[in-house]
Amino acid sequence: MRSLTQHAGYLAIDHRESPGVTAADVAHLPSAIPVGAGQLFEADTKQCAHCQATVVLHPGRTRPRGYCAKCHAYICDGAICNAGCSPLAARFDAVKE
Amino acid sequence: MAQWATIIPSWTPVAVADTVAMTDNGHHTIQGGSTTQRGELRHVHLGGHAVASSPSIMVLGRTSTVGVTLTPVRLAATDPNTAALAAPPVCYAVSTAKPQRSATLGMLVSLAFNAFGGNANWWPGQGEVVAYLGNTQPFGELSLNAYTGGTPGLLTSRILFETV
Repeated sequence: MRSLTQHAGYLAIDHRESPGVTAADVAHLPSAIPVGAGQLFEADTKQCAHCQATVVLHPGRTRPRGYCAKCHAYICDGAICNAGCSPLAARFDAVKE
Repeated sequence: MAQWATIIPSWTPVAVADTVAMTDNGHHTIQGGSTTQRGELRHVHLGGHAVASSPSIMVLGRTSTVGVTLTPVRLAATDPNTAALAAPPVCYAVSTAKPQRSATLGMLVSLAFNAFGGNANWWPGQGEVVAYLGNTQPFGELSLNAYTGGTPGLLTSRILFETV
């Protein structure tokens, strides 16, 4: 039985020897993660089933995470991906045809 | 297993907005070698070399306008037994017609980091791929570039991918 977090990817942003990135630096890009000075950020990643964007399983996230029941997979916060089920794999097949 | 590594050892990203032409030597982009070629990313590494604080809002994603007349950068197979491709993918930073980041598919991986002493690494999960297909938009390119804002600094980029 496949779980949502099975075979996750891995993201590491290492600012242990760096002044880091502040929330103000990335406020204009919601998908960016502000990793501060002296910090090492590590998290599992999954892929949005609809657009292949990377979904970072941020341990500090409090709001609900997007999920598609048809794909049984996480989806990103994008409005298009949350509007309905449209897997990118199907679009790849259409391009190949 | 035909894995390939493309590296630009030292470059400074140039921040651009979506659907704006990128600047030569300000991005690191992979374009498929043929209309049917498919490649899957295996690892992306960014290592900062800046000499002062440089918040670099790096993203990796698709382009809605592909580059034309490309000047290839370093690309090598990681395994000596890898057979040469009849139409190898082209990794480039310079082109006559510049690529443009897609407004809808241009941010598949967010790798914002400080190039002054920082580094960023991303490995996709098993069975989960970020792939290019063909050599025309919307799927023919994957580009590592800087989004607007920040102060992009000198860095090294390495992209490991596999043609399938």
